[in-house]
Amino acid sequence: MINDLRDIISRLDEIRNANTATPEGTPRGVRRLSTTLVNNPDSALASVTKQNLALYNQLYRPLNRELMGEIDSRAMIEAAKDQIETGTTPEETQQRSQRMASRFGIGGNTLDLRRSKVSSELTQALDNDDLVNNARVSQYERNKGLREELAAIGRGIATSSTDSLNTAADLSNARQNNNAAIKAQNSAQRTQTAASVASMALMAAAIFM
Amino acid sequence: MGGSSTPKQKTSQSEIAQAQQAIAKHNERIDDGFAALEARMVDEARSEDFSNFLGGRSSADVAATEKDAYQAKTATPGAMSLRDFSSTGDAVASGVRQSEVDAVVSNESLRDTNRLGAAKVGQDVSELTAASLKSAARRGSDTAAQKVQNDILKSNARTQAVLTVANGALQGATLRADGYRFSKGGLQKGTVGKDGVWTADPNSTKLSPLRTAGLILSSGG
Repeated sequence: MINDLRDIISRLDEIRNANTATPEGTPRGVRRLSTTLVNNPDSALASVTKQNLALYNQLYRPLNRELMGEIDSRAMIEAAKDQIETGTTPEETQQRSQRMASRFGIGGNTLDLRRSKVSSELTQALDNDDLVNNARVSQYERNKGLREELAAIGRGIATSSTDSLNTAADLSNARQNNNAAIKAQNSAQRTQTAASVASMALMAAAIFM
Repeated sequence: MGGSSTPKQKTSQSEIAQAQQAIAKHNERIDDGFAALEARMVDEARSEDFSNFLGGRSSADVAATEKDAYQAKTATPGAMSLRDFSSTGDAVASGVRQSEVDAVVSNESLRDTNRLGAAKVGQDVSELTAASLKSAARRGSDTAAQKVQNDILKSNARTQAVLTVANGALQGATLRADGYRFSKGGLQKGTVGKDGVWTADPNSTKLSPLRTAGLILSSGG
């Protein structure tokens, strides 16, 4: 009776799972597990592990590769250089200053004009230097940070690989040791059986002759 | 007996899956560039020299300061003289010299930070290697202990076999010396005459073939 009831519940679960749509955006290969697997945790674990592996290969490994491709990025430096090339020239700055001064009726003599020109050029040159230098520092820090994080991820992968290999080697070693023990027991048993047969033969020979 | 094959524990699926996963992870680390990245980080941490960049940046800072001084001086043209500009030049030269020294200090500090960062990764590699060696040593020790146990088992079996054979031979010889022979459907005591012919003792009890077989079997241990 109870077993019948369990069967019915299990079938109902299967039907419900089959009818439950996977939410949109769920990665390919990732799916809900049937609750019937409660009776077989090994199988459930195998299924979840396969799904996690698929998820990692599908989502995270491409992301790792994408990040790895950007460790030498020069985007910040290039943006700063573009800005310098397309930005306002010292001449334009000076002309703008002169227009502003003339609006207030200020003309300025040759020395003023010369001083203004030199000042604009100096300011622009230093601003440009500052822009590129800051971009270089920011780019360096960004690239260095990214490389360090990726190196840490790489170490994690190495650790995961070594841990798995250790477990596999443990399993393999235990199996080989078990096989050696079984072989030794078998050999000992055969020796004992042969000795028993020989013993009986010798005794029989002594009384039959 | 001799033809029977020794039963063996087969390689489990989980063992294979574990090894496959481990090898896949190891290959992933190489294929996706993580191993090369580590090598590059160590190489760069040892060889990178930032002194030119830092020196240039410091010089730019000096120039920015002196630009302000220049602008202040030229703001009052009447007070301008060659001496003012020569003092500006001196200040720039002094500032640049100091900035170059500062750049060397900063460069050393930055290189140390980078090299120490790489060395810490190296420590992780070392710890992982140590853990693997420890694990390998434990497996080696387990195997050696198992081999000793197996050898003891086989050695004991050989010793026991010799004793069993000797026991059978001794029991047989003792029975024979005591005059026992299997004759006419049973084991019976008798005597060997001068002519070497064995004659059953009519007063002795005859052991049935079944009991005789039991006696022989018992000698086999």
